[in-house]
Amino acid sequence: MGKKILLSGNEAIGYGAIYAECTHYFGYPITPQNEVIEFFAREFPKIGRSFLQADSEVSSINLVAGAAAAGVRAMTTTSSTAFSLMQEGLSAMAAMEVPCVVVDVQRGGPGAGSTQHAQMDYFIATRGSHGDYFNIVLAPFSVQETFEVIQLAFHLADKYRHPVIVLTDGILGQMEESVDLKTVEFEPLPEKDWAATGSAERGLKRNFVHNSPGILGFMTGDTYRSNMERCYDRYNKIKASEVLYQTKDLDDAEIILVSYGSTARVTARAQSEARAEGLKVGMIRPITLWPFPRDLIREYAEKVKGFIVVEDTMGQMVEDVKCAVAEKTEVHLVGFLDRHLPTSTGMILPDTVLSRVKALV
Amino acid sequence: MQGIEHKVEGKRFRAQSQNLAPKTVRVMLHFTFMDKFTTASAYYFVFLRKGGTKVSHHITKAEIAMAGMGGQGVLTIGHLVANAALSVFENVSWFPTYETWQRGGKVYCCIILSDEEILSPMISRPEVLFVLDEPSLDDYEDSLVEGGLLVYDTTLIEREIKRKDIRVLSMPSAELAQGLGSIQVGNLILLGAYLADSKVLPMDIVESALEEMLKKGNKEGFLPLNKKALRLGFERFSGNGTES
Repeated sequence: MGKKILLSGNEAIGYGAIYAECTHYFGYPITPQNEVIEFFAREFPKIGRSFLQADSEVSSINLVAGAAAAGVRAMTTTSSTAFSLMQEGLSAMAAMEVPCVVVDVQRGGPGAGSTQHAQMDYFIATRGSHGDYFNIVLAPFSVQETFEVIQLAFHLADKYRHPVIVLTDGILGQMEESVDLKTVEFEPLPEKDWAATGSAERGLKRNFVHNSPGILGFMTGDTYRSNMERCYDRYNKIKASEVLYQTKDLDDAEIILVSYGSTARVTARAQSEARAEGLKVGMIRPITLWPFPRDLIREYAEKVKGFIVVEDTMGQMVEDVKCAVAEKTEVHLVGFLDRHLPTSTGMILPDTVLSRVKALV
Repeated sequence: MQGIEHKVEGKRFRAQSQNLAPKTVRVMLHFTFMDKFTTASAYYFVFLRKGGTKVSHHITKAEIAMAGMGGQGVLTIGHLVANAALSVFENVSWFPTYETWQRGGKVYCCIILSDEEILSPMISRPEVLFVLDEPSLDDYEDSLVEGGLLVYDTTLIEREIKRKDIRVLSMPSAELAQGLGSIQVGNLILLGAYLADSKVLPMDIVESALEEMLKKGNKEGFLPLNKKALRLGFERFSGNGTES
């Protein structure tokens, strides 16, 4: 075990990428993820990996697409308003079936919004842009977990040949925690025999990665429909096997708190304080936001008095919880409007959550 | 360690399907705040103690908030405490908030030092509150827990403290700092006073963390002044916890 070091969540993204053997980073500065791009600019050239500051986020995502199509581990990072600029590229990469990791260190919206923390990109991350595709979305809740989830993201991206979004936020990015750096090991992955690496090693047989599978069916033998069916099977496989979450004190719970990312930290403390006061409160923390732990929530929907969703928005994840609960019990939201002042933009604090729990009891 | 990790993982992570590859689950080994980890974290700490990497100490938890305006070094001393605490406490968190101003603006940070897992790095009601200017006192005075400790500068804060249920550690730190040659070290004078009063961290560890921080920022030239400020505060309160 190495000595623990103090790292910010943004730096942990960089360390995670290094440990995951990501070799190509493309990015463009935006608050509150500037420490990430600074980290890559500083550290990547030292170890012979590629860092490029693009001229915009549209370029970043397309550079990632190009690098990923050539078979390397590539990533970019950004924040909310610029994450929107990357949607066309992400949809194209879903069609191209190339793996990549995109980290969204969320800030406030809509539009340029605020440079401070928020969790308002749940919908865009889990729903994606045009077309029938689903991003795999991972949401860490600590600096340590950010470091590890980045490694998991690269693994899942390669495993399913699909973009993976890591959703953190201004709080997780800026705060520092003691971290134990070590490589996470995964099962071996198949070789990227599809990558467009040129014809030198394969004689005249070139690989062709393109963004209109089926339409250019003469290349692959696929039709548009058969290709979509194949993709759909893959999404079902991901839903069946990659759901990750944590639970606490669910066995006798009357109220279950559901929260992800930085608000899950606040919620965990409120949950622990509620238990200390003898209140039967449990907690579910989704780590994959897509696929969402719907079955787990559904399982408890008939057993509990209600769910309280804690997220720093006007209500986004709460919709997924309501869908899982299917009106079998109450679902409440502790959200943006419960932010506690006096910090400049306010934030949801443990006492706020605890008081809402007590109100429901 | 390996054995323990494997024993707990199945219980902590209930995947929806059996297909979840065991190695993928292993990624989550650090997620310690949940249910079934109590045993594992206990082993974890035993392991560390046996390794002898941690300094023995009595205080096992501190929740500190610091507030002031940009430029007063609020985040800096918070960061210093967090860095120094790395070799003393099992877990450390430092959570800063600041406004998009180059100078000025409200600045606030929470530091948690704990031998147990840190649930929330954001605190509703800190046990210790540093206040470096009057608007911050107005904002945060009420947040301090009953019986908590308020550390503040009497040069810049002239009004009376409203709370009667708290302990107060105060001194004209800005004025004393000017006496040392720079108003900018007022923050360290207050920190020194708090260290003497609370004994939360040994002075030598804080001093070496300070040295490291200044070295990193190529500001080694300021080390003597910074150390002097830290010690000034420390010595003033190193008696029985009240100002002499």
